[in-house]
Amino acid sequence: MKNIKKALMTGVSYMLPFIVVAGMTIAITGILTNYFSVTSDAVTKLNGFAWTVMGFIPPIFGAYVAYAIGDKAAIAPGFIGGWIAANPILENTSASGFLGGLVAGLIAGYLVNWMKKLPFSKTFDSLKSMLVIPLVSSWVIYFLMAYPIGIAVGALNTAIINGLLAMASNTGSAILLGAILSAMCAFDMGGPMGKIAITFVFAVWSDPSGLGFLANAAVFPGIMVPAISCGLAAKLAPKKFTESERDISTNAIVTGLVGITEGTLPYAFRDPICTIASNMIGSAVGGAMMMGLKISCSGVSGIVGIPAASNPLMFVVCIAAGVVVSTLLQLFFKKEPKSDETKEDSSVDYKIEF
Amino acid sequence: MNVVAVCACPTGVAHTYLAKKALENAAAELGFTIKVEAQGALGIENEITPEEVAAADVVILAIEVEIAKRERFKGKPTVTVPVQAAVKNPKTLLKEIEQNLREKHLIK
Repeated sequence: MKNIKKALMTGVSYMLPFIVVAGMTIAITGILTNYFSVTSDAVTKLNGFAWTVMGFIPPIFGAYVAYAIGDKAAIAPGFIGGWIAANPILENTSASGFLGGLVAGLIAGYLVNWMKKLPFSKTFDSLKSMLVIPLVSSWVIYFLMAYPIGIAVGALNTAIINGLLAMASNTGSAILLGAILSAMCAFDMGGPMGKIAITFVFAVWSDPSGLGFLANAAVFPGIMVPAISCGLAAKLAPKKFTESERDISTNAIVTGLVGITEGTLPYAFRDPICTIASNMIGSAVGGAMMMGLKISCSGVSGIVGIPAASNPLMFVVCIAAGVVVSTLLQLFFKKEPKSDETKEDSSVDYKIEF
Repeated sequence: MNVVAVCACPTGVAHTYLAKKALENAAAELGFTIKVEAQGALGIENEITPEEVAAADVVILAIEVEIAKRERFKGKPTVTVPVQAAVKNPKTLLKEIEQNLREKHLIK
């Protein structure tokens, strides 16, 4: 299970730059066209190409999920599997998207690992790595993805997206969804829970309903509120924070503004319950407002994404509301720090191997 | 104790470097020598050489994603921990590893 999680994270890690490029290019060309009424053909073409870059995302994801398990040899079949996941071969199978890419990458990785162990006489060793493994693994992935998996995972993916769409179109549960997504990000500040929330966003990113951009907007509070609020609170109530927390407060605000949540970590380590709870509540408020007002955004990275929001003013208001709530909660509930706060936990979860 | 370590988290901009710093500081406090490589968003930084691996007692991988160039560490005692473990408890981690290696007679 741990290996699967690592493979998922590796896939996410390698596809992130593609998501940034696609998202930001769509955002910027969109702004030029819609806000500044630029009607240049070059801009339109660039916008179109940005959607092409979106298409690179599933295969890259599949490729690097596979890489995490099977190393270099697994990249080709993983890439192919990811591609088919997003571009089904058979009629009447729906794209299995992200989940399909994950499944394809995992199968490709394990298959390649198994094939590496097959006995080949020495003369055929290079044939094994140059021809047999890539060809056989890719064909296997092709048939698996195009037929049984394409059908099965496609159904599951559609079910999840329809579920999320239903939540999003019903105003009551949309608000709840927005709150949950942001709270997840605020909970572990760049850790696995937040990554799952972001994974939801990516999974529906290119859904034609636009759910992807709605969900994307809803996680902005979760990413920005924690760091900004901690830094702000440290400036407004210096006595309730340690010297090092005051030192890093400006950094926390700035990094929070560009969408890097990790600036909040030092605060969370020293005073976990108060910090994380305040951040989760503030983020949930921001996320709920975002979804409730049906604001969408195709950008990333904090304030850089503001111009790409469907309603930039309200976008900022939602995030600001989250910051205000979290900061006030921290100012109210935080106690002054005790003298020595650098105790470490006594148990660490690890293993030694050779 | 002579340590080499690699830190790698998915986004590769924050946790990776927090873990690197935490391990370096903790090692300094304990009197260990350490070299920490970061595999961040832009790739490998402060790359560990084969000679450094050979001279090390242990390899620590504080990772949440698969790393590149893992073959360098083949045959060395390797400890794999989540990135958070290195960020939160670097000293405890290093001390427990040292004790563990002593019990196995891998270091003096």
